[in-house]
Amino acid sequence: MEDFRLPEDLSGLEQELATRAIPEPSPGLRGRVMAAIRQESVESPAVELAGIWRFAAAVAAVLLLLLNLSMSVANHADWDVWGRPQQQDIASVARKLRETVPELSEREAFRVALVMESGPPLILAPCPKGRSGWWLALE
Amino acid sequence: MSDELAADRLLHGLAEGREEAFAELYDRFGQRMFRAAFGMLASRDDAEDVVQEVFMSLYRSRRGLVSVDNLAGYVFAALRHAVGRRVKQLHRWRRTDRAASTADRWREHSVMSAERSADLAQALRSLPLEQREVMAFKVDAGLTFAEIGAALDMSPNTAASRYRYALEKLRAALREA
Repeated sequence: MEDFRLPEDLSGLEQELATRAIPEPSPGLRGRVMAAIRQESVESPAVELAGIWRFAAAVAAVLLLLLNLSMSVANHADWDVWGRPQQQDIASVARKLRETVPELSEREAFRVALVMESGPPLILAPCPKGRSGWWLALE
Repeated sequence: MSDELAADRLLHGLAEGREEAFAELYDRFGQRMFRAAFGMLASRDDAEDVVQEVFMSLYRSRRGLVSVDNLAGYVFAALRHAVGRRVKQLHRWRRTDRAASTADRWREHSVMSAERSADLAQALRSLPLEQREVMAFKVDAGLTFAEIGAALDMSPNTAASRYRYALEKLRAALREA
C-alpha cells in the first residue's frame, strides 16, 4: 500500500486530523490496567475451579438425562417378541383356547384372547384350586 | 533479537499470563489504543475504560494468543469490538450529557481554533462508526493499512478505500458545517 496517495485537499484534511490534539491518557491508566490484570490472575484459579465443577455438573446432568431417556424408551418400546395375534385371529385364538381348556366358557376364552392381543404374553402356570394340568396365566 | 523472535517471545509470555508480557503489550500499544478509542468515542473516560476492558479480555483469552499472526491487528480488532459494545451501551443509557459535551471535549483538548475544532468534532461524529474506526486506526493509532485490514477483517486495499471514502465524507460534512 506504499503507493497510496491522497489528493491534496484530502491530504491536508488528514494532516489537520493528525495534528489535532488528543488528550493523553491518565498517568494512572497503565497502573490501573496492570492492577486489574493482577487481580484477575489472583481470581482466575478460583474461576477455573468453578468452571471444572460446572463442567462436572453439566456432565452429570447429561448422563442422568440420557439414563432417563433410555429407560423411558425401553419401557415404551414394543419389542414384539411374542408377536401379536391380528384382529381377525382373536376368534381363532379363542377357539384354540377352548380346545386346550374346554372348561373355559366362550366368553372367558374370548376375553383371554383379547388380553393376548393387548400384548402381554401368556405363560403356562400351575392350575389353581387344585385342578390338574397347566393354566394360561398372564406374565 | 529479531522482531519476529521478540514478537514470538511476547506472544508466549502473554499466553502464559506473565505480567511483564502484558506490561510490554501496554507499552507497545496502550497509548495508540487510547488514541484510537478516543478518536471513536470522543471521551477520555470511555476511551480509558475501553483500553482496560481490552486488556482484561486479552488476559482472559490469553491461551489463544500464541497462534496470533498479526498482534497489532488482533489487539485493534479487540479494541474495535470493545468500542462497538461501549457505543451500544451509550445509546442504551441515552447518556445525552456525554454526547452533548463531546464537542466541548474536543475543543478543550484541541490546539486548533475553537470553532474549527468543534466543526471537526461535529463532522467526525456524523460519520458512521465503521468509517470513524478506520480513521481512528489510521490517523490516531498510526496503523498501517495491512494492520487495519487485519483488525477489521478486510484486505488492505479495502481498508485504504474505506479510509479515503471516510475522508471524503468528512470533507463534505465540514463544507456543510
